[in-house]
Amino acid sequence: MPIGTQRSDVTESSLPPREPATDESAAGPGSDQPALPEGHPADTAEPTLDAGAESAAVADAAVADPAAVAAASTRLPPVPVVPAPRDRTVIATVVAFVVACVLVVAGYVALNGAVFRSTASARTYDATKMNVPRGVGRIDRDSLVAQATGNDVLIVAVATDFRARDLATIAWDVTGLPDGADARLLFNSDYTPRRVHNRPLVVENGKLRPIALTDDREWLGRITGLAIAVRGSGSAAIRVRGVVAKPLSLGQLLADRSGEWFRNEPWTGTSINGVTGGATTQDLPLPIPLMIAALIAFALVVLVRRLLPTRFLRGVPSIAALVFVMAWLLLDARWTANLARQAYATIERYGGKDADERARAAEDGELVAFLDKAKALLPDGPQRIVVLAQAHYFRGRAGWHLLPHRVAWEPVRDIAPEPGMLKPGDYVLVWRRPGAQYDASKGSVRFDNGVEIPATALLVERGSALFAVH
Amino acid sequence: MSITLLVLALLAPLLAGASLLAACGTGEGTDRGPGMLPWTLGAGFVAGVLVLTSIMRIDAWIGVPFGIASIGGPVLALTAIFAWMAKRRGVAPARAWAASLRTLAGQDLAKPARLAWLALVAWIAVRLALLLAEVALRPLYAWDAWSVWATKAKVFYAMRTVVPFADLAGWTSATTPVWFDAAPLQSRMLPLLQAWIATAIGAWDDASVALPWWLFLVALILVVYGEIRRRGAPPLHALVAAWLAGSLPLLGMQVALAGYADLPLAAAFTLGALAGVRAVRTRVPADIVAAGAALASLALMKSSGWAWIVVALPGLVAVALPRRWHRRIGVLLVVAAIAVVGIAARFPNLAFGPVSFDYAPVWETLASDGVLLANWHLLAFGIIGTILLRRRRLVDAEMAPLTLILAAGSIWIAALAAFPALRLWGADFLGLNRAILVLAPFAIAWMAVAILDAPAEAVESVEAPADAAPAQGATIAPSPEPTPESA
Repeated sequence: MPIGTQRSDVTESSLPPREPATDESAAGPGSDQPALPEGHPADTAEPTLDAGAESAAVADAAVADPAAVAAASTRLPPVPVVPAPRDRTVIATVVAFVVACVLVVAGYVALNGAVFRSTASARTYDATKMNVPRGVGRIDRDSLVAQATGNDVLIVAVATDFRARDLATIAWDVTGLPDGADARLLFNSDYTPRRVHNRPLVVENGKLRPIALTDDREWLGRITGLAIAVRGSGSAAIRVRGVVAKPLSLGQLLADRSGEWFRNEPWTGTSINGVTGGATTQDLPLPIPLMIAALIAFALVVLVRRLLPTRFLRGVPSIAALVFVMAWLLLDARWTANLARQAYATIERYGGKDADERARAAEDGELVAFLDKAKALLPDGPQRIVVLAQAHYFRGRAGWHLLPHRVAWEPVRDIAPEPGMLKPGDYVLVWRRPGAQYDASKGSVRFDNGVEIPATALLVERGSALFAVH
Repeated sequence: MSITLLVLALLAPLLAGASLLAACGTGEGTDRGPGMLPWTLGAGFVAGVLVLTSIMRIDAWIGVPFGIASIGGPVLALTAIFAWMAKRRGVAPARAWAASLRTLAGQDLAKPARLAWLALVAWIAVRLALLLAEVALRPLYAWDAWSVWATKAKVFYAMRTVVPFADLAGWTSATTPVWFDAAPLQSRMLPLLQAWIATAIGAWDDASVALPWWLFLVALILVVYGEIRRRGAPPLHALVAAWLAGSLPLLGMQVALAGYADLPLAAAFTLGALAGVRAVRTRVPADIVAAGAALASLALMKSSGWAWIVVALPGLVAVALPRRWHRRIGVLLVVAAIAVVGIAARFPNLAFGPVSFDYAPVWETLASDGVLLANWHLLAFGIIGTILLRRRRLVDAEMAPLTLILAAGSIWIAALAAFPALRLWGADFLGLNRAILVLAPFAIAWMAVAILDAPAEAVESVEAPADAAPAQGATIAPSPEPTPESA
């Protein structure tokens, strides 16, 4: 049941399979023909073909011998030309999909208890307006970096003034929350001025999920203060950029969700293993509403097809394929937009540079610059080099950049060379790692595991060095 | 100059492989059938990489240093010989090219279909252009790309031969030169391909050596398009399938952050499984060679790649056996899956070296990665929908082998999810997604074939004894779903 456009000249897909055509074009103009339901009026539209087995036989002959067609045609009684009905499957499916999307949005709004229209606008309170009643905090650029003292609870608060009924969604922009932290929203209002209410918040990937308080019986009057209380954050510092009180309306919901779906997702070290599809934390991942919309659209078209069978020349699988492709197309548009943004960033960063310049422009550019100096001091030919660095990323990257030297680095642990690992003629490259003490008077380097080897420092720079073992 | 050399270096495996497959042509209509040219180019690249890296292995084995002449010379000679053989057999590429270009322009389609065709071609072109910009500019970024794969390539290029790699203990105690990286025993095929690019341009460039990954994606798109066309689908249908396969986000990510073996493995598996099934059925030489090269590449591209040959086996065996065996093989697969679960339940400490059957399922991760996140768009829903809507078609004579391969692949992925320690074999320790990646393009092709009406012989074999010949001039059976009239 191919996905294609209906044509009324030859019903090729109703023919038996034949030897492959002699080239791409030999598939002919009819090659994009959908498979029509057997016995459908369109099957009889071609004047020289009759329905059923006879038409198949004639069509088969047409493939093998055009002359046979003429002969066969002359044997057949003339059939009046009946215009094929226009196939409405594609247009109906597109319309149904749009309608289904609208229904899904409406359903989502209803499920969230939101209104379709709100006159109130969101209120944003940034980090500069916040204070830390419990714990310690400091402003760092646009964020408040706050930390609990000891095992105490951490509270970050802000004075507010808005009508609870207008703005029922509270979204804290917080990062760095440890897994298992108990986070709560605190609020007080002029309706119950002596009470501080608290509601549990969901921590996901170190961030706080927004909370909707539409149905909360205490969310009344004017909200005069908001705060978050975090217990179990230990010594971890959390970063608070602000809090937004938003109306629970159609526009706000759509803005929030589309903001999540279309948030830039730059490549990271884990991108090779998975694609999130926008923000790392999402209320409603895009594939779900699109799939629901596709199912609704499918049901709608199949229903209409039952009522108006002559208008739909394609089968149920074709309709399913069409809605599936439309939903896929929207998802792919999102992914393509993200890819375009990333490609633009890549071109900005690396465009017009040669290989060496690109290496220096990369994330480990400083390391590359140091290694260029180190490599210039090494003899020709692959040398044995042991790389030490605190982060295994830098051990590996140094090892990579030093190739084709025979470089060794510990893939998992940051440990100093074991006794016997280094031999005269070897080199040790240290990248910003404490624990290697060079004694120029003795001509030796001592590592934090107690191993001391005779060596000469060839290059020393800000916690980094290249030693030649002798 | 270096750009020219780079383009020639990239074209070398493509031309060698495509001419090899063309040389397998019989000069009959099957060589010029719909979809044959794109299929030959796509499959040719996969086969050509095997040819090229085999030549490099021979060079290293007989002690000839890597160089343009020592690698490019034999590749060029083989390409010329294959092209000459193809010409002698009457394979005329000029007509096929002209016809394919006409198809590319959508000239044979009606207006609405043509618009859709051109839009889709443009969409694919934009995707490929964006990915090309990424891969051609960004230095190797992803972890294993520079700690497992290109490490070997960089050394092979510098030393102009294949040299030994060892683990840290081996490196420390070695008395002869050995090199170290994060996976010293990993396969050499892809590093050799990267070393060839560097050898051809005369310098190591992180970005240039990653360009074959972009070509693997192009090859995959061409193979899927060609396969679906060769199975009788109209051009637009085949193009949609190719677009679906080429637009899988994680597949694109593997190109953008090139350097892992999973994308080449996916291309080889898709080609090997699809061409393999047809090769067993039709004995067409080009299919046999392409399938053989692709399946061999699976084992040579990654140390765990052999698992995917095992996954393809049920389908390849099924197509060689009478139809009654299809169900038996399916039952056998289910029994094997249950046996693994049973063994794991009875012997929780069973282990083969570091590989254990420790049951620690990650179903939630599998579901989240497969459905909620953007890795595969709607692939999971598509597979479910195909099973629901085309269940009879999925077990007919044409589809059953493909369905068995998909089932075997799904069981393998489920096993990797249930017993994460098995990933030592299946995905080299790493995420499930990269194992799914190998199967995903094949699953798209499976969906695209399933939605086509069954060819007559497939339907006949359901209704008639397996050895009965298809009736001459038999018409295609109606779709399983009721037509408006019959309903």
